[in-house]
Amino acid sequence: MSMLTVKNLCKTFDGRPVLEDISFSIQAGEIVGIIGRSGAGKTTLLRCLNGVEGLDSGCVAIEGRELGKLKDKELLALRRRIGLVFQNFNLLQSRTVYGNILLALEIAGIPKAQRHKRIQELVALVGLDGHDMKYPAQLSGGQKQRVGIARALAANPAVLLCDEATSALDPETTFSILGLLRTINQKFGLTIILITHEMDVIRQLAHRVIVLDQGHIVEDASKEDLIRGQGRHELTRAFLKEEQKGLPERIKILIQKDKIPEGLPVLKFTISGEKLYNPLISELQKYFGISASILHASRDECSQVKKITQIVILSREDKAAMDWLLKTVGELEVLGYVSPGI
Amino acid sequence: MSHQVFDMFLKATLATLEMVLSSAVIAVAFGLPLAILLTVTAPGGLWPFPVIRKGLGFIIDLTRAVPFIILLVLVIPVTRFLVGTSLGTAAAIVPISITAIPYFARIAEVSLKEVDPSLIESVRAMGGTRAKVIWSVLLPEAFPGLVTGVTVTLVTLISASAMAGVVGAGGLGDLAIRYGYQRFNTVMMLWVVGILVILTVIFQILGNFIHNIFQNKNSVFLSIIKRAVRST
Ligand SMILES: Nc1ncnc2c1ncn2[C@@H]1O[C@H](COP(=O)(O)OP(=O)(O)OP(=O)(O)O)[C@@H](O)[C@H]1O
Ligand SMILES: [Mg+2]
Repeated sequence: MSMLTVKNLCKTFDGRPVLEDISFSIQAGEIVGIIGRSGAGKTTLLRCLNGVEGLDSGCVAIEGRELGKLKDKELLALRRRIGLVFQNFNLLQSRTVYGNILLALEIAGIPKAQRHKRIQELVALVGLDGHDMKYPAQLSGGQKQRVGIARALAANPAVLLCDEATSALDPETTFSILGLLRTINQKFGLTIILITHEMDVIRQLAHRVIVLDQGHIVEDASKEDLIRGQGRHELTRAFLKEEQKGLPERIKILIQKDKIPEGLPVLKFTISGEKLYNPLISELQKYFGISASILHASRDECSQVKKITQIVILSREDKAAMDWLLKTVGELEVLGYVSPGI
Repeated sequence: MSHQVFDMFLKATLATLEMVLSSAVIAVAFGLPLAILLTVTAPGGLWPFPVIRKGLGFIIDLTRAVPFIILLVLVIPVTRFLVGTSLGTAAAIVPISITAIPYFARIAEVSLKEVDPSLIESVRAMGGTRAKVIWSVLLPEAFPGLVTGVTVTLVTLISASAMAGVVGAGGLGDLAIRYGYQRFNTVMMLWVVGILVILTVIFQILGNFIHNIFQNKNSVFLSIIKRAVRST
């Protein structure tokens, strides 16, 4: 079933088009990343999705119900089915963690008798046990965003919309927040739409990416396609390149972005958590007969979650092996190719 | 100070307190809804309505523009109608309240305007009704500021109540005029001033204390209250 459908959406501000002919459809349980430069219209698109902003033309439907056709009251009811996570958290300073989550339950009209138990569940889910009586001023950014997520999830929404949910956080906290979102998606099958300007966020979490540029969709591809380098728009490529700035210089000069004859693929993947102990490289050899030589490995020391990033050269290109790797590590990227002789 | 004089001062102080506190209650009861109305009808507010906002703002500013001493005399017919007399403590509450309402409304409006608009928008986006936003976002978030507003109003009302002594309001102002001004009893006058100063300081300290409790979220005091409330 399609959870959310956008058809030919157009939106102008003072006669200036901000979104033009936007169409896409999101299935239940999908995690879709929407990426674009500042001013591309991401926030405006999100505001159109929950009916805060009216459309000039086109339509948005959530769970088959078209927003434009709803009465005010029905629109409010539908908004309660949409969880929102904000960049600057937007927590009430006058309420504790408990009170902030309670607010969402009050709005959704959850019966009083169920509220306390639900809040306890949510506090535990987002890993804030023992903090429920604290005020936002007493929390770190990451903790505040956990409250934001708990609040967004409180009334069992059909879809979670996150606008730059991690942009105000450091990389390590971002990693743990994205991990939390992934867990929620897997546990409850919740549909998630993530707005961001960082490819890394998409790589870590999304199943699919939509690239927005000056109000147009210039790319709508699955993460696998993106990683394999298929159907890349110029801008998508630019986003991917930005991410590569972090590579060691000696490796960067070896790699060629485009496929070269007989070239060997260079992969970068990040392993974390329990997967750290998978004997990946020997399994590659065993299952696919591919040997992988490690060019570079680095460990994220400061992170609470152990993370290892490896850059390897495979002895040949193989689609099945890549699919298997992607499934195993979760985060994978083809950096490019090197000539066999090096 | 003789027993008699002490009694007189006590009575006058209580009368002043009665005037000040009851007008403050009336000021909050009427001024706060006005402030909310001014805030939500503002452009970009919850319920933009320029006509209401401008009209209301005009009436409020007009009332505030009239000097208190003139207002005292102007509203005598209204006072007679409401209280039955224009003399005494109860009668003074009418003009004092009439100045206090617009005064507090403007002060409260400032506090309400300071509430982060993105909070309001986010609660609307979450599906909260306007009433919910006013009740759960606007008022609680502005609360520390509103407390300060009440304190400022109280202090202003102390001086207003003293002035009301001119038209026979009773209380400390009356005492100062009858004994200090008409009978040249400077000591008496100084006593009145002293008591007024003490009242002002007490109100200010109390106001600051309450403000700090709510502003400072990790205050021990507040967490005790919260715990008590939750366990009941
Ligand atoms: N209320 C508004 N009135 C007029 N123009 C607006 C309004 N909101 C957004 N815009 C314009 O629409 C364009 C898209 O804005 P939007 O906030 O959607 O960008 P964005 O992709 O979210 O950017 P960022 O990454 O900086 O958040 C911008 O050019 C902005 O100036
Ligand atoms: Mg934005």
